[in-house]
Amino acid sequence: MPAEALDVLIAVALCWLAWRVLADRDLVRSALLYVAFGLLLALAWVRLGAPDLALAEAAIGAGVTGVLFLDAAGALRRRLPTAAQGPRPARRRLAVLGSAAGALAAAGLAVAVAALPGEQEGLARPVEENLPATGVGNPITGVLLSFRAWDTLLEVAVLFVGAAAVLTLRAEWTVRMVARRRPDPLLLGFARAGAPVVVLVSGYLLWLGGSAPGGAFQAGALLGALALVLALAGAVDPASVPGLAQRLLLTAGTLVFVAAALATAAAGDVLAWPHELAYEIILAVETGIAVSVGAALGALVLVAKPPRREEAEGQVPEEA
Amino acid sequence: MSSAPFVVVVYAAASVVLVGLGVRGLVARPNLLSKVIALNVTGSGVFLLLVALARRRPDAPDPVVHALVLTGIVVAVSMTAMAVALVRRLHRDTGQTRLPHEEQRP
Repeated sequence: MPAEALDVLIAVALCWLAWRVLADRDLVRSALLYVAFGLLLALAWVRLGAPDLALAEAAIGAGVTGVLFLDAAGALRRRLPTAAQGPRPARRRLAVLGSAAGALAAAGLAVAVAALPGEQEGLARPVEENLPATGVGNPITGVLLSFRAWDTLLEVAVLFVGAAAVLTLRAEWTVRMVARRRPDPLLLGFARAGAPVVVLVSGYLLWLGGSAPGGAFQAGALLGALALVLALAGAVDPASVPGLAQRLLLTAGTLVFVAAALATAAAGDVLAWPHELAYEIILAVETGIAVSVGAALGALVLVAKPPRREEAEGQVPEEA
Repeated sequence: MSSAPFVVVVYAAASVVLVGLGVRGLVARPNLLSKVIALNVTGSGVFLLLVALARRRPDAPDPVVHALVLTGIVVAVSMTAMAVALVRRLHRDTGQTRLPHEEQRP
């Protein structure tokens, strides 16, 4: 009974938080509430038996997305006090229209979900039966890197394309200014002392992904967080990383993945990992993915802010 | 869904509410950053629904759905980062945080 009460509590709190996130006119508060929403969602993943998702949600869904929103909300609010409030009738019309659209979407979804069978076998059993062939013990890793490896390859490519698009929209790194303004000795010392530990934990998560919750994306999220802390503390200037190194870091996952696919295809296993080497290949591909995920997440946050107008017009940025 | 486990029904119901709230925010809020946040709430609702439905056989949740949602979370953050970068670029270049056809004052 207490477990059921907890589920109801989490579900109600999720709905209430989502309402608060979307109802608040203050974007910064909205962004902060979104972080709370993401962390609560991570709890829901645990309750639904998906610890891999909980790890990813807490780091990527709540962490990285929250930082993106918070940073943007702060920037938009600074330059735009309260001037751009639309005329009242237009706001009310939008609210009515939005409520109608939301109610319609929810009602349609509810009807569709209610019509589904309550008991469903799903693919849990086939995955379990075929998992030994992948060489890994964690079914999520098996699905991601073996059964549906093609999806994961394209997912890593999407992350790279996203980072490339953000880099194109902005030609200068945000954090350089932050770091120059406030060189905090405590933060710097903490970042330097913590970095090796984070790299170690990240490697452990990566290795653990073979048999337990964890894996390339969770490990990569940790590396991305490390990149952020190092840049914010001023220990590393992201702009000083050479262009070639940036490109290699961002594409490592895709490159290793494609190289592994081509090599196994040349050896006769087209779109399949050879049985005896499957575990080693998956581990190598995951390592590449973790590096790329870390680099891409770091880049997505660090460069989300566009250059100041005078700088953009005045000079050609030294890198793009 | 009448024979589904209690936990599935609870989270599936919550996911329906989240999708409704997200769609409402996407339409009702003129601010583009609010729209991006609303899109993320809608996406979270879809993920929650998928993972709840994957739990219908309680002894072994469907790992294919979990892998799909893990992929979804990563793609969602890429989409969000690009959308936020576009909003900030628009704001820098025009001073606006809304689309031109929404009512706005300079």
